[in-house]
Amino acid sequence: MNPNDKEFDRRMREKFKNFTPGVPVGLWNKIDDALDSETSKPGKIIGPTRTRWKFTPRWAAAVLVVFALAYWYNRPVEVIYLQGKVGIPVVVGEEPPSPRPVLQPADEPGDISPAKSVFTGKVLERINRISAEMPREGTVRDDDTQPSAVEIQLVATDAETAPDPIVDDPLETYIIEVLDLQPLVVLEEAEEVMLANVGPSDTFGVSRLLNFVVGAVDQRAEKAITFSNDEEGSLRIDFNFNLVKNRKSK
Amino acid sequence: MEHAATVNSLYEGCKENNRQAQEMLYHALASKMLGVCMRYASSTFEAEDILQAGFVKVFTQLSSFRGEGSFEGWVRRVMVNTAIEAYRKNTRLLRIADMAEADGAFQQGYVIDELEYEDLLAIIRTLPEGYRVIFNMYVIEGYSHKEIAETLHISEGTSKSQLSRARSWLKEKIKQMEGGVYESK
Repeated sequence: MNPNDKEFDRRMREKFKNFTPGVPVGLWNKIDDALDSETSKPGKIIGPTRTRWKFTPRWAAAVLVVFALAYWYNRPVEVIYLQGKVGIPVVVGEEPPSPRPVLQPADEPGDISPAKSVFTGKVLERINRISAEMPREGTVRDDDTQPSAVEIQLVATDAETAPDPIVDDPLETYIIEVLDLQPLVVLEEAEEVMLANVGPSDTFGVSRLLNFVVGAVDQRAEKAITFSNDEEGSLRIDFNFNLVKNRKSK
Repeated sequence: MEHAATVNSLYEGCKENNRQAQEMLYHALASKMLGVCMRYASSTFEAEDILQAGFVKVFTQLSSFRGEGSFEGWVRRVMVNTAIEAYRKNTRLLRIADMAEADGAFQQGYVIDELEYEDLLAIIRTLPEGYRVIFNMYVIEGYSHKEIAETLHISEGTSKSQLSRARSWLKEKIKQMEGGVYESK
């Protein structure tokens, strides 16, 4: 750079270093008005860059709605059992500390009553005695030796079944046992023999139909082929070979 | 020193968007910043408009100050940028023919120190706008040719050539005003 240029630049710089002209009155008001219009613009952020969270009623309402939805989604739901009892089951993971109560076996809703009407009084008496000894599904034994398959805490609200120990003790814990398969009816020995001697009923089988067809073809008194049912009820074919021999000899 | 401390303390209040702090900062820096704006503007009215827009920009974009250098220097740069924006909006064709007349006059002398601010300012305002901006940015503000080229979207060569022509123009004008020989005091 030309030394003259350097000197020229230096003098110009020095001249304007302390140049402070007078500011017109009222200029600040214009700046103030411009700042107000800037702040009134939507979405305009002026000043501190930090965002301040304020707990407004909107936030409170939003939190309330979230909690309400969470409670509604997880609210307790009624469950209808197959036996007709209506309860609210709650699965618990721990055994109850108190001993379980003794309950009377509840009447099963009519599953064996039609069968009972078929048999004599003695049979009915025996059935009741055996049923009394057997543990039923849904009942409780006051016996800790019995293994528990599922432990469910029931709160039954069915008023039709009475006396219902479940209703009386809504928060007691019961043990449900998986029962072994048992025969529904147990007969005395005499009745079993009687039933065994009764032959197979003469049912309309295929043998009758086939005999009718053979009779239509063979008009003789003795048929060469006859159909019958054996002891087990299976179809049996009887060939009359004597009749065939007599025909040959003739 | 006290002035710098006052300005820095007012910066904290302006960050909180405190209108009182903003007004105090304005009164502390307005005069000096108006002097900057007047060197770039064609008239005093234009300089005041640039000053007003510059301060609004200072208070609304305070977060862009990263703390590098003094706060007053940052405000000064905001004013220069505002003046350049105004120049871009009102870009006029450079009077190259006028500048050509000044090429042969740089050898004659002039006296800068004896001139009043207003006279020197009047001479600077006679410069074509593009030359005036480059002259102010390089000579007074201390920008490099590279920075000027980036800001004005011109080449460094153009910046250098226009600065040289601006100097010649000013020397001629000063000579005409004083009518004397350049003397270095």
